[in-house]
Amino acid sequence: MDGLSGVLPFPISGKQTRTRTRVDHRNTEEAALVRRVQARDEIAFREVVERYQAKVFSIIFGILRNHNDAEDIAQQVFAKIYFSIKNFDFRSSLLTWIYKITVNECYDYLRKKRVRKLVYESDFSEEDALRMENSETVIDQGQPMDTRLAQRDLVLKLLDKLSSEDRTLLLLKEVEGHSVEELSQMTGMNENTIKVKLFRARQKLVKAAHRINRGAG
Amino acid sequence: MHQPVKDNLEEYLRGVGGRFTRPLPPEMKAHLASCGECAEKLSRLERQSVALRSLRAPDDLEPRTGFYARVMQRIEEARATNSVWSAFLDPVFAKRLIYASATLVLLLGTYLISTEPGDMASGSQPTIVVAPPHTVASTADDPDNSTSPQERDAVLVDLAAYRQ
Repeated sequence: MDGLSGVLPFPISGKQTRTRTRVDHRNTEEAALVRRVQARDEIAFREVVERYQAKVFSIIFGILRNHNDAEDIAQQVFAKIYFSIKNFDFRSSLLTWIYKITVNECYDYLRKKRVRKLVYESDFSEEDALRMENSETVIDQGQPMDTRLAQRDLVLKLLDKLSSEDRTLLLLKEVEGHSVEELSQMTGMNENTIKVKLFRARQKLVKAAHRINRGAG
Repeated sequence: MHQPVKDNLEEYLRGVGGRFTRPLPPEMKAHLASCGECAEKLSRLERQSVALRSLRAPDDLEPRTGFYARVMQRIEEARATNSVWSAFLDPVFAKRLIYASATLVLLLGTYLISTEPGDMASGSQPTIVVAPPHTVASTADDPDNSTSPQERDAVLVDLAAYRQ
């Protein structure tokens, strides 16, 4: 999968030791696991599923906010991983690769269902709504639910305007909270390239938002 | 957006909207104090950053138990579907299939052409057959033969048509 693909542990907040060494994704414990999966080792595949199921599930839930859809798409994601892992080229981390597949699956699902008004309150179970409340940022929590849903809807529409690679990078940065340095290690791209790509992606979003606002106005 | 802001943008945005807002790096702060355009663009990107984080999910999410079994079931279903259709997607098999179909069409065409009856229209038309000279001579010598040559020709034409 082009520039992006592999697993870094979850982001660590705050100051951390800055290692500028480039991660060789071919010589890691994870690479050995991937090779076993590529050789159709079912135990290794089970390990991959168990290692990443929670992450994949939460990425999908973050986008769709629906438990049943998240479960269904998560299954689809792992089936896709199973069939296409032979194409994994170790240029990026496995998590990055899985992340990209997951986000793409979510967008395929959204496009197929042509859901543009993505989530209505009626679609939520109480449990889902509670989970959403707990996951909002400090700023979000001051807004009424309708405004937040409309904002999420707009964000998803705008992200659809980006390339798969730019979208994945932006989500890894903003939603997963990875630093530029971590993204560089995860993707195998250098930090300046990451910064440039992120900046362009942000500009595209701003422009797309302008167009949508003009259209609405 | 100018360089002092661009250089520190990603690091600065990491802290926006969270519980602990990071202080602006000094060079960025100094630039923003004198550049209204950058300040406005930065504020827009801060809002965008916060909006993007609305896609953040809670940490404690897990699929229902038995998830691996359900994934394997889906893989088996996909395999079953693929095993039928994947043969058609295999280039070698597809090529062979095309050649076999073309040969079959060719054979069938050849067979149809070869078994088709000749000229259907000519069968219904009478054929004129001229009687060989010895036949004419023998009949002329026959004293009992009282028919005219025109009548004999007409009979021969009828007979020939009947044979056809």
